[in-house]
Amino acid sequence: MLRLEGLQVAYGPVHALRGLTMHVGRGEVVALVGANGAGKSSTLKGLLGLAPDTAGSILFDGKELRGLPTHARVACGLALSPEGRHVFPDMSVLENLETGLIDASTAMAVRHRRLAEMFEHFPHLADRRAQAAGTLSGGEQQMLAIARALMSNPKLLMLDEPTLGLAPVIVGQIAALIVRLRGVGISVLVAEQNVEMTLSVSDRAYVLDSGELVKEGPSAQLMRDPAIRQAYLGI
Amino acid sequence: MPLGASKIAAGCALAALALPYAITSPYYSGLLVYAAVLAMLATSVNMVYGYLGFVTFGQAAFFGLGAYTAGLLTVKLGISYWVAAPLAMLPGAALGALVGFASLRLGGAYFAIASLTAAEVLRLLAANWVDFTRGPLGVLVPAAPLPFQELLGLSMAQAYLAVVLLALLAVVFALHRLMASPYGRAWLAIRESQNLAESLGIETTRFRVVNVALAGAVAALAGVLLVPKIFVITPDLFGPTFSATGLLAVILGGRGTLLGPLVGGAIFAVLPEVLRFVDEIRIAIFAVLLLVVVRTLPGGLMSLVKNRRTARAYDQVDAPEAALAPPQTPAPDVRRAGNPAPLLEVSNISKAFRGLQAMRGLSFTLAQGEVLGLIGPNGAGKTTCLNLISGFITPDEGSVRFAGNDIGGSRPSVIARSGLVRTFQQTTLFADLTVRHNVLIATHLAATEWFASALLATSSYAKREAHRAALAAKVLATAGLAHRADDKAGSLPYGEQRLLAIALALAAQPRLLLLDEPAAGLNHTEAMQLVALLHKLRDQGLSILIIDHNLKMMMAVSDRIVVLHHGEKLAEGPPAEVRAHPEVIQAYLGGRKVESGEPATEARHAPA
Amino acid sequence: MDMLAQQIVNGLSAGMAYALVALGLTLIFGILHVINFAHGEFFMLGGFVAVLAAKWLGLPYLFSLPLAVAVVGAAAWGVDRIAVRSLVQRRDGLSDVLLSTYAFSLLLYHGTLGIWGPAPARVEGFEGSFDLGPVTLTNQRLFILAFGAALIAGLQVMLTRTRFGRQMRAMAQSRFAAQVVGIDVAGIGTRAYVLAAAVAALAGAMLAPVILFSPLMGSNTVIKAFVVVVLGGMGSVAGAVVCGIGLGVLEALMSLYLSEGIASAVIYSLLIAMLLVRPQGLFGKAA
Repeated sequence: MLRLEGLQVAYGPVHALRGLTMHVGRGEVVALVGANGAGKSSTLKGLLGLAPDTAGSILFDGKELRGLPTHARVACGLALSPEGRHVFPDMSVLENLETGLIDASTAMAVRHRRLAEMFEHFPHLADRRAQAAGTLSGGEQQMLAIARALMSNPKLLMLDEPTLGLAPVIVGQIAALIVRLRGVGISVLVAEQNVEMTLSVSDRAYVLDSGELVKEGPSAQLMRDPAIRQAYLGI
Repeated sequence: MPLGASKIAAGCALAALALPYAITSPYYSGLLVYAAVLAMLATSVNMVYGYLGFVTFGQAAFFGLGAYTAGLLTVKLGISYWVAAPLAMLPGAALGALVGFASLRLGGAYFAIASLTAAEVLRLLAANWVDFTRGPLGVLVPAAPLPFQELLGLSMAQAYLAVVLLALLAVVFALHRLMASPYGRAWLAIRESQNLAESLGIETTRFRVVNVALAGAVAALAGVLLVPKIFVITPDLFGPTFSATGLLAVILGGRGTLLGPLVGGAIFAVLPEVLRFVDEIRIAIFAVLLLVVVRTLPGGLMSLVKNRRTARAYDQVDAPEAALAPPQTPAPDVRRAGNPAPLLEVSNISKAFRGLQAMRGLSFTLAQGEVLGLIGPNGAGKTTCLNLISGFITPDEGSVRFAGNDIGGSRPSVIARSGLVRTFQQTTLFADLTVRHNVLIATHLAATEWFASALLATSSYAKREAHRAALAAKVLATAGLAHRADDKAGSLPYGEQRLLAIALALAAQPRLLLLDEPAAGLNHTEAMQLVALLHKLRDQGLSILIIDHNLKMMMAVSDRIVVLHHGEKLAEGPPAEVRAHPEVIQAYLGGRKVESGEPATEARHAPA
Repeated sequence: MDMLAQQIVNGLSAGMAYALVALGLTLIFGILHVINFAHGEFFMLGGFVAVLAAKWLGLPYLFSLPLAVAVVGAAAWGVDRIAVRSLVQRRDGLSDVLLSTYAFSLLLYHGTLGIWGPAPARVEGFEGSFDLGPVTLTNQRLFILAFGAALIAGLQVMLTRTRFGRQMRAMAQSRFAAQVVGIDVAGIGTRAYVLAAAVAALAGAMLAPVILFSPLMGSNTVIKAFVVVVLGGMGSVAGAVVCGIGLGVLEALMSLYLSEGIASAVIYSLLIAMLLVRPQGLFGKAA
């Protein structure tokens, strides 16, 4: 469904991603792991056109995405919950979710149904639907960011560091959420520093280091691999 | 500073004196006067916009102030115009100083609007305070002969032209001197990055005030010099036309260059005459020119004259002894080697942002001559900690003591001055300036500079400049960047840019160096080179506090490590201890509670 | 006392015009984070279209309103494409757009001057007046108040209840997040710019019958609009409306005791004072 070939991302002289080749199949959960600065975020941003991609190709359902502006790529069926969440702080939870609706022609009834569904999946948010998003806790904002991304009914959901700075119990909730999403057929690409959680919920994983791919394979296998520990703790 | 500038100036002075003899037609001498006045006005705009980075729509406020002061003094006190003239620069400087202070609160957009409004207020005052200024009718200033004109055999118009040209020359030369001095370097630093400037010990407020005060005086002088040509001083001197002309001339000619405003001013004076036949659309042509320049040629006309000199201007110090003079910088902590007191004491600091507790009761110390590493997962609060120590944020609770003094709440430049210097996570450099110029800017703290000595280039000033140049050279050599001295900082490969950021901090001669992710984006070889450099610095007596995610490097470089997690201290100790600490491993890898089988896992790995 | 009341009533309609012009300026700043220096000229052009509609095309006054929207909207679209859209994201975007829109303000002003000349012009709006107790209200002023209020209400509804409005608010709060959710930030930016210009044009067309139209209308108003925006707070709709109307009334009251020039000087000094004391304005958020 998603295929990257030799994708490079560079911010001026800084080569954040030096030629990544990977793919995500339908209904898969794929993890991108690596230390901070390894290039995980740059990959996700580069996929959406939010970071300057300088070479390579991005094929989504056979369509080349490079060269398209971000809103066009979102319209193709990609969605992102960005690193740092970036909810709209002065809008209510409900309005934040509404910004995720990309299809202008959707009828009111359909929109209401989609919102109702979303609130079912995220009961915490339902309780706070009128609250300003900027006053939510970190974990609630993360849930909101993911829910907002899901509002567009994406084919591929991308999560950039969803557990960043969050308490372990929330981390568990996010892990459970990812499993649920896979269960309903949504493909997920998750970039994370938290290796244990990510490998436990994903089918396959790619390990990045300094912008390059150093290892890939089934998550279960990688979980037992000493090389991962090496990459993270230098031991 | 290019050698021989004094010679060039002397040559120009002679030309300025000689030229009026050749020009007998009052039309041409009047045109030249107007060109010189506009050039001077443009130069004053350039000082604020080009060198300091603030867009100003109201430079005419100073322009009109100078003209009115000189005119009113002449008319009300009955003195000669040329006696009143120099005094008229003072209100310009005073207003400029006020505006400079105000600029602290006003970012780019606000400054532009405020300057426009201030000029309008003055214009309305001049137009309506009829008793004092005669309102729109204006103040008529009688022609005043110059004392020396008969002596030199010049007509009044010719003497006037000579004075104007010499004044312009003096202004340009003085500006040239200043730009080659710590003043100019501080201005450029403020333009590029206020935070970086503060972190290197440059007190941004003081230098902003000096800049705008000087610019005000120069613009006032321009107004003063225009009066004998126009005879009547009217409120439009405060008007948007003059402000706009000054700004447009700078943009067209090339902002941030010494000659650009001169070229622009001349064009704006001469072109209307040349384009007389299209007088109606003259402004339209200017507007289109402005659009073209903003969109496609941001550097103005001077950028077309592309030679290495424009990038390398002011990055050399004009002091022949530069290579010989050794910097007398003792390694302070080598002398105090036996001192057991900690250099840095962080006690119980806390900080909350918008309800989110970013830091909670953090305490640790750093001993003299040690390298302390601060690690923790993303979002643990490491950069917040650095910002709290270096003065960019104030702690809600707790204290930070450096060398026994409480530095909590002090401004970053003050903290830098006391010997605590930091680098930034995003590579912050003066990208358009050469590497050498970057480091020269960073030597700001090496010696205090007096305004007068910079202007007059006294011999003690020359000695201090030589000292700074030698310090800059030494720092570049230490960082291994000496071969890059002439290259633009922005063109350096990434790894060298990070090294340059460290070099800048070193040039501020710190006792304690705070490094914010210096290894970010470096490959393994570069990271190990960084370790070698840091160890070399430590052995020379420098204490270092370093934050980074590259744990391999951190383990190799640090004497001790503090681990942060969720804004609190999780562990502390020598690297070997910390990395075997079960909670640390859990924090980084996340998830499962660590079982007692952990030592077995350790044993699986061969020692590195 | 009667004179006071009359002045207040007159000031309200001038204030309504200020509010509408400031509204557009603050909208552009809030969404695109740039200052549109050409805004005053859009206001002037609205009045100019009203003049031309009456004098050259012989149309009844009411027709000049949609005509002003169409003509100035198109001009604003052009200005946006050339001077704003591609410059907004630059590092020095704020000052670049400041200068490029300033260039356009010169072009628009001198263009109008070239076509019409400097002479002021009378435009006939809605004639007639009626008495409301001690004060006399001309129909034109009543129209300004009513239609202006309707415009403001309409804008508020659009901002809070339509998709376009939500997208604009999203952009104002976080351009990055707006991109992430798939909002066409460049397109919305252009539409917001044109909308703001159209509102200013309507204000110009509405005010032209009350004050004399003159090509100087724009530069006279732009500083006052800045005063309103700074006093009210950059990006604050409520601030623009409250301070705009307040300024109109204040100006009208001051004209009883002070000359126009001094009154303006006092108002401009208010701006400087506000910037020094509370830069975020009355309704804005502290940085």
